[in-house]
Amino acid sequence: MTEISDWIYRISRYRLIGSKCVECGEVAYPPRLTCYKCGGKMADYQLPRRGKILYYTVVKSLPERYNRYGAYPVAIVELEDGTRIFGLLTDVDNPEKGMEVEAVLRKLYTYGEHGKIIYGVKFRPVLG
Amino acid sequence: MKPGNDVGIYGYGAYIPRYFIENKIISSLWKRDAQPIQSKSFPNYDEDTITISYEAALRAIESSKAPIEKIGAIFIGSESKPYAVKPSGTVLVDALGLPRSILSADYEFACKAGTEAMQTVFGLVSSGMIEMGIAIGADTAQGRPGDELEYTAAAGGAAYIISRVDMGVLARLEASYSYVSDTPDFWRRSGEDYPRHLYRFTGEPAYFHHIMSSVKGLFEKYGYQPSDFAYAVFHQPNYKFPTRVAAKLGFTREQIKPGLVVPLVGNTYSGSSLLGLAATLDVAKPGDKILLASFGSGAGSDAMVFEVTELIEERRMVPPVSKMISRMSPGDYSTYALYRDMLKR
Repeated sequence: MTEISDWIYRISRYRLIGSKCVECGEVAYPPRLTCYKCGGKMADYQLPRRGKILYYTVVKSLPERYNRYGAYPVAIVELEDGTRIFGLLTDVDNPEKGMEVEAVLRKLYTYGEHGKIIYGVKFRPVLG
Repeated sequence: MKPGNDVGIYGYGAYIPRYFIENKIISSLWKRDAQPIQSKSFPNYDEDTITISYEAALRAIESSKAPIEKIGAIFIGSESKPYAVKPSGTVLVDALGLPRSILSADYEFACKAGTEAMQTVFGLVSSGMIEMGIAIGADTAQGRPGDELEYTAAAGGAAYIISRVDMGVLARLEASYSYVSDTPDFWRRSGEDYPRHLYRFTGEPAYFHHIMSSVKGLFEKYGYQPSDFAYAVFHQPNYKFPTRVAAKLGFTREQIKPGLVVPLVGNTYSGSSLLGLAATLDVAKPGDKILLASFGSGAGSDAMVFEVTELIEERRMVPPVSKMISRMSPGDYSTYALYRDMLKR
């Protein structure tokens, strides 16, 4: 993503706002203008913040922007409404399938030592 | 000071990062005996004052079900702002979905920036300029490797949603008193990574003088005495200072016990006394009076008196501070150094 698209997508990234097709009900995250299934128009849709891990893996071969702190886990999370989205995990040493997680705001990356700090949603085990 | 119109706390939330490091690891590394507390929290690599403030504010909003469309101010008190120039509150406005017709600023007064933010929101709400506001104290405090502060400088914060009493509050503000003087006990110059301090000078002329002055001033002006309070919360840079100032002012160990989170969490700077207040509200009952006295180096103290209402039962934070502490995991010094960006790559 460029620094401009970081800004354009900030609200959907901060708040987990996706889109829902007004024709067929398909949900997309990140949000889209048209449905990739039926071509219908899509409207903003607030995704639930809680869900569970369906699949996970640990990424060890990292692009430079993410390579400051070593490997990190990523997951396909099934949210409470059934939507499945890809997300970064945080605050978890040993992810497990079925683990209850919730979306929180974290630093995603920074543009070097002097550039902007980019924030967005990550998933961590539910606090309670 | 007394508010013109009755104001109080509508909701509260706190956040402590997941990791802690034991003091004995730090003292063994530097071959020293001093262990002022048991352990301190430290932030994950993807956490900073903005994300900690977000978590505390979100928990305050969700636990109290506050009508966020009425929020007209958000102030964050911190001495570890992620940016030297770029406000932290604007990220929270968009991340929490607050109205954009809102006041927002970052406050700095060393460790009392959080209570300073509260005082401002109390004033704005009391005057009728806004209906509700959020005041936050949060830090990822810096401790130079090997310095005394490294044992205690921790990460965490708390957020308070403030409204008029007639909107329904869980605690009413009865009175407050502030005391400041030019006392250079601790500072961090622009562009410096770590603060400096004047060792023993931080005790009597700074911490004790300012807290004793604000609390005694409050008591004399409004006629309170220690026995009026169910609980008291003092700024907690270590275990010794708040327990000693409590004793000097005539408070018992029982009165300060629920709010004394420093032995396990450490000194969360601007979050310190506000985190203690959150832990106290977790156990307080309707009718209880709570004294809050912050301390900020440089130096000053805000003392406030709250009376808890019936609404506390339905607005307590979920999960409570005690559960947030019990879910923490131990970290070693290498993880701490990496996550605190002490390692050059």
